[in-house]
Amino acid sequence: MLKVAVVDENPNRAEMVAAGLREAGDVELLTLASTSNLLRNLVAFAPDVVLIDLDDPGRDVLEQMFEIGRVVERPVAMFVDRAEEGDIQRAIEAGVSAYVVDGLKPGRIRSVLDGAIARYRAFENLKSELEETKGALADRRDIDRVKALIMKRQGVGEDEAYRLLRDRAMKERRRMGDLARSLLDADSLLRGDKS
Amino acid sequence: MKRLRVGFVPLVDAANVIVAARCGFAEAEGLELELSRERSWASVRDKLSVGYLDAAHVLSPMLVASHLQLPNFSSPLMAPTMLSLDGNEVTLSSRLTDLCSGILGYTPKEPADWGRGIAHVIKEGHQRGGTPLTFACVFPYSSHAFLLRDWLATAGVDPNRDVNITVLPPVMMADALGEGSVDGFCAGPPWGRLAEEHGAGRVAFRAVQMQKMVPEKALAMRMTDPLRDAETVPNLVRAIIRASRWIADEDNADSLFAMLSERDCVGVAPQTIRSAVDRSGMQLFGDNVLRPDPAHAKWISDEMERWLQVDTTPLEQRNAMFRNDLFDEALNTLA
Repeated sequence: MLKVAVVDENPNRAEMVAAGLREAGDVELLTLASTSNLLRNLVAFAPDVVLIDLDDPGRDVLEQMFEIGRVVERPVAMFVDRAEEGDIQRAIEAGVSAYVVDGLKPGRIRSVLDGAIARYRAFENLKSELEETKGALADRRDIDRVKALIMKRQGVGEDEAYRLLRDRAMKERRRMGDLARSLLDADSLLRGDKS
Repeated sequence: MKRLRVGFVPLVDAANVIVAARCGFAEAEGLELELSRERSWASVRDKLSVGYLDAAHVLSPMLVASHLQLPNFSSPLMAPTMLSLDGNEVTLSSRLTDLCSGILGYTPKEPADWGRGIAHVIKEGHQRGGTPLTFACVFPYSSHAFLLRDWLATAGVDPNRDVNITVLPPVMMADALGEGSVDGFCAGPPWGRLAEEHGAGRVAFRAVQMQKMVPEKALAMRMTDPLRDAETVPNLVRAIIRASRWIADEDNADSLFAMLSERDCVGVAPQTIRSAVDRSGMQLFGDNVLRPDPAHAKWISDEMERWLQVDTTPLEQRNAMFRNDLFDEALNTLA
């Protein structure tokens, strides 16, 4: 059994990565946030592999485990030190860094690293999908509000109001949502709203 | 316009890089600098090694570590210019400063006096069987780590046995000091000042009270980079020199502190940065400050040996890290 520590400031991502690794194989997992007790907690768990967000400030805390003369029972070395070029690039793009115990066979780590990279990537995709969905919802709301304004001011029907807005957006080469937001801003300024 | 990605860690001594990118000095040299704010030295090192960053603000000892091929340092780095000398401060928790003042009968000002106070605190702690004091620095290979050990050793405290020396990112220092998980720390501005503002402790002394002209941050690049053309390095160095001259002008101080305080730079209030800089003794400008000194490599590797961070170091290519030749070439062609 492989002992894997997942260090992440984001508990949702930590849980997602951990769940993925649990499915993938025989591992004992510990998820941790980077706090000032990070080193103590890690040493107590004595992991074979530490997975940590590439940008996590706690990485410098981990680095002291490599100092010669440190009294840490199981020194760990960074995977990318000996990994193949492609692995390094993939890991960095996915935003994960991995530290593994010296002397562990690469074959045993491969599935963990692959699983971690896949999960970090999936999390990123999920996040951007969520942002896109939020953006789409905001667009629809603002377009509806502008449509209502046009209908009222110009006394036209809903379809005509939509067409006017769409044509203007095409002419100005802007997204309809963006155009709607600037029209709403202009409208609120003209009405003297304080915001 | 050639585009370069340049990494920095949110510290005041990244000023030369930030100003070069933001105030048009890089553009004047035909460079577009894309700044990347990094949250750990480990991430700066790794992104630099794999080419995700073209250059970065680094701790000078990281250059030496890269040539000694210490664990995780996979590609050798060189510095065509320094970014700062000096500036670190030692901040102690309120509990520890009170203990020291109590023992000594006065509040010390000098590092040696603080050291005497702490030696007493440790001796009494040993007798009571308490937990050892913990001091934090920012990275294992840093002038901060050397300074803490030197200061304690001078006071008769064995830094490897009598205390814990640990690593924490600067942003976590004030909280760690406040909650008591560390008793003191060494960091560059503005983090000591910030801990004071949080009421967690006080800046006891400045590194310049012990030693001056200590190599602090350097601008690091990969030693070999097949994608780099001959003009990139001199252009970048000239942009940094121009930035440092802008910083040297007192009239620009307000703009500088305002710029550094932005969230995507250091992200701390301008007045905190100003008061931290004023007293820290940090040097950011002057050709003699920026010019890399090959002797830095020897000083750093000696310190690493002294504190048992490395075995005796056969440091080859000692002149390959701090490249005064590249600096002079750029300086001499400055329009």
